[in-house]
Amino acid sequence: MLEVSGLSKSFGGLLAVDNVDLGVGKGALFGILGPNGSGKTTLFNMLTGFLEPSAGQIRFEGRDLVGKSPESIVRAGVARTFQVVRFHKESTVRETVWAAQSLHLGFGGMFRTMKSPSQRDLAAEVDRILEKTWLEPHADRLARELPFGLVRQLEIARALATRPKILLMDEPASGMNPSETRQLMDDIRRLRADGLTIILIEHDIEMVLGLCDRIAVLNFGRKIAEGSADEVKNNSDVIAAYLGTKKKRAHA
Amino acid sequence: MYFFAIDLTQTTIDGLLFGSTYALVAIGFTLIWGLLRILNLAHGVTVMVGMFAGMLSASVAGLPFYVGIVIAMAAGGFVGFLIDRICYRPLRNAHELVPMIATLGFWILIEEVFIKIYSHFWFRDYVAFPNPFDGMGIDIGQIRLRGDYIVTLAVAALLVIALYILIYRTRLGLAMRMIAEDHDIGNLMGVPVGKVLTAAFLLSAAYGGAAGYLLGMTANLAGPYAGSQAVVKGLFSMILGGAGSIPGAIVGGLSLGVLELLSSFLFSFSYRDAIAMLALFVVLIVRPQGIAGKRLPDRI
Repeated sequence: MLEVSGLSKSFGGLLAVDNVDLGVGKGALFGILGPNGSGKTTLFNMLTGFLEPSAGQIRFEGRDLVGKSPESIVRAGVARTFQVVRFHKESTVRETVWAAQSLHLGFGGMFRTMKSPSQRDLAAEVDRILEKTWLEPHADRLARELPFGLVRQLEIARALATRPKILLMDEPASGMNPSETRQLMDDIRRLRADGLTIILIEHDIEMVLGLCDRIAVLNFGRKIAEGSADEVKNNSDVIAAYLGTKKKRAHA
Repeated sequence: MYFFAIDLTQTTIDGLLFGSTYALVAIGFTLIWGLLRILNLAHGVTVMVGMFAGMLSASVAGLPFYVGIVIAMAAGGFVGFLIDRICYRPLRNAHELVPMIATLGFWILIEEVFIKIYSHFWFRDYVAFPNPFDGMGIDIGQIRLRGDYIVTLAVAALLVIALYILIYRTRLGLAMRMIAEDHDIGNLMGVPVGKVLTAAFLLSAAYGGAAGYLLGMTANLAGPYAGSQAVVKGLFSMILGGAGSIPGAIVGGLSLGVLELLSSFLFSFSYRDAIAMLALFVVLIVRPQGIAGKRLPDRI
């Protein structure tokens, strides 16, 4: 479904992502693991059009995504959540999800209000998404008043409102306590069971190993391993990266 | 003393009514400033074009007021479209000062060309802007509400209400508010950011066009320097009220209207602008965020 080949990004002389290949099949729950600064978020930024790759190809359902705007990539069915939460703080939870449906409308539809009869189906969809993400009791609160754990849910709800085929999650568990993390893992499993393909970025090794059926490990921008949880767990390079063994970096 | 109090009240009321035109101009600045952090210095061109389109529609074509104002808004809106396509779009990835300088260039270019046309050709014969409400009015005791001022306030109020519905009730408005805070938020939700911004330029320019019509009608005159004056008054109103907020633009515009007429009445017409500017200084020293300004929670 998503094919990445030879993807690289350099900032000045530094290679943040170095010649990475990935293949994510439909319905997969794919994990990208790596210590901080290993290029995970840079990779996501390229996949979602926020950064232009220095080299390489990104194909989604056969379409080339390199050079496309973030907006058109969302339209193609690739949604993401951010590690650092970004949303409009003066809007309510419901409005935030509602705004993310804009791409299902023509320009004329943008002039409709929330209560217009023609918008009823979309409003019902918002309700369903809020229910799925545990936000329904908080629907009319301002987004900035949400406790941190629910803010993460709002990011997911907003991504779902764009009706994605694939969801890219950037460290969704960061800052969560263990019980919130377990809840999130259940939610991710349910989203996948609903037919969504998911790529998860994490540095929390336990979470990725416990959730994902295929895992790629990045270190210093390079993919050092890929395989099932068991394969990755026993890979000597991965162990070295995570235990912090000093290794000479091969700069291009 | 009694007559003085009557005159003072009359002047204040006139100022409030007339100030609604300044509020309309300031709203145009505020929308673009809030969304893009660009001072759209070409905004005055929309006022001037709206004024001349309105004047021609009324004097040459003899169209009624309500048609003329729609024509003025359309003409202003077209200028806004040009500003978007010429000054903003090609330069949107440049430093934030670059589009502003482009709007400055657009302003000077259009105004100079317009003045040449105006002084060499036939516009001179048509500068008188017909005022269908001339002489009309409502008397309340000793106070007279001028008909054209009432109409001005009514039009401005309608446009403000429409703007509030658009911004706080529709998806387009929500998209604008979100883009105002962070363009990437819009992008990642698939909001067509470019189209929303074009809509904002059209909207602010249409409001400029309407302001141009009302300014011309109440003055019975269409002048080629109306755009420059509108830039000064609009920016003044925006900053006086509180940059970046729509309520601020309204409060600022009405305050400027009152201030100008009161200083003409109490001192002299020729010191009007100087006194208004002095008042702006005082307000900004006491309240740096403007009269109705907040400490930037929301950007439009």
